[in-house]
Amino acid sequence: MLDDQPSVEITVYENGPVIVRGAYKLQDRDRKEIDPGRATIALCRCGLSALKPFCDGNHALRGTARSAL
Amino acid sequence: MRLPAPRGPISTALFACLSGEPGPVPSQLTELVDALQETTADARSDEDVQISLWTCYGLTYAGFDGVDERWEWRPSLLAVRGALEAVFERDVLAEVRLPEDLTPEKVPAFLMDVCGRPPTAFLKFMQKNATLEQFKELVITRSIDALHEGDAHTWAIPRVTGRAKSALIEIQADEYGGGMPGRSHAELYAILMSELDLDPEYGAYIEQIPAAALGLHNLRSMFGLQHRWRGGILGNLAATEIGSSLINRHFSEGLARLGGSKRARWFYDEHILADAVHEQLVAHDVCGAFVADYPAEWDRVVIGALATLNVRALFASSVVDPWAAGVTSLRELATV
Repeated sequence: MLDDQPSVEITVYENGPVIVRGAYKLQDRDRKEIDPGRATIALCRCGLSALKPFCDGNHALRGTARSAL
Repeated sequence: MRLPAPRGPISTALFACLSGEPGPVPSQLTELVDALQETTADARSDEDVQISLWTCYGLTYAGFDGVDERWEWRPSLLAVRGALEAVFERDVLAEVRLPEDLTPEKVPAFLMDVCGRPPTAFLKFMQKNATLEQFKELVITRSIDALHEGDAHTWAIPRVTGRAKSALIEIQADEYGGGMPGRSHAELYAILMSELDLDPEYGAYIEQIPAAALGLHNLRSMFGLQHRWRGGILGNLAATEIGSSLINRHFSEGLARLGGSKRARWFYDEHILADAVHEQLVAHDVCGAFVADYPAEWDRVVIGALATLNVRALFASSVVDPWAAGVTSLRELATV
């Protein structure tokens, strides 16, 4: 990085997932690397995803009632 | 790709014209398209209008065998395209209403809400009940758009600046497989078609694809190719990405039920994860940033999204209604 930007950026989306981009490494509890298959990833924050740790859009099924997220 | 078969007087005159040297178009063609405001009740489902428009835009994508490439920018042909677009735009926007209480700040949340409502009955049908033949029909009809996935939105890149541009590029890079050969979403769609023993060449099924399906693709092209619709093409992208994870999951599960291979389902499975990212980026970072940075054009984003949902609903009916009546949703080759 040429400037003072962090190497990893984690962005929280209201009523949605966290989006992670940059030089991150994704791993499970045994430190085994999880291949995300893409550079920028969305991680589930609501627990409804069938593809955790990734977001699969399932939060939409819960509607907008979860504005606390 | 060869020129398709005409579907009425306009496409008959247009295709005859395109087979010759670039120049003026016959006055008969000009008169036909100029009269469209009176002669077509709904350009969205007008076979002659949609196949003509698809062909005009086709000159800007891959072109056609035997058609001189200079036709693409020939003013006489652009005037024909403009008349076709005018009547298509009229009918696409006829049912679109901008909500009165909507403000620019509310656009991202509004898009997430209105574009995120899944067509539940249709998705459940594809997931649980569709036959393999019906599934293949849907793959065929969507092919005219999906084999060009991403392309019309790429035209928006030079038209915007700043945060919206960066986020748009992040989405588009993903659409093209991050630059990895064979991984673009259009190529994954070609794999899906091959796995279902369908011909993945673009336009292979053009004669069988009805107007409403062409309209989906034509709307993107119309928005993408015109600066005045730069907000509209971003709204179109929002309507495409938001809720797409759920839609693709239902399709993937439906195809798995029908014995589709993992390779066949790759296109759908890729979209489940990719679009979970894209829907956030498009709502907040593309459209949200655009309406903040281009306040005079904020309504265009919403109109573009609502117009897309309108055309998509018409497309869904064009598939489901024939199935409910026990007939194919494709145009019968014999009647072409």
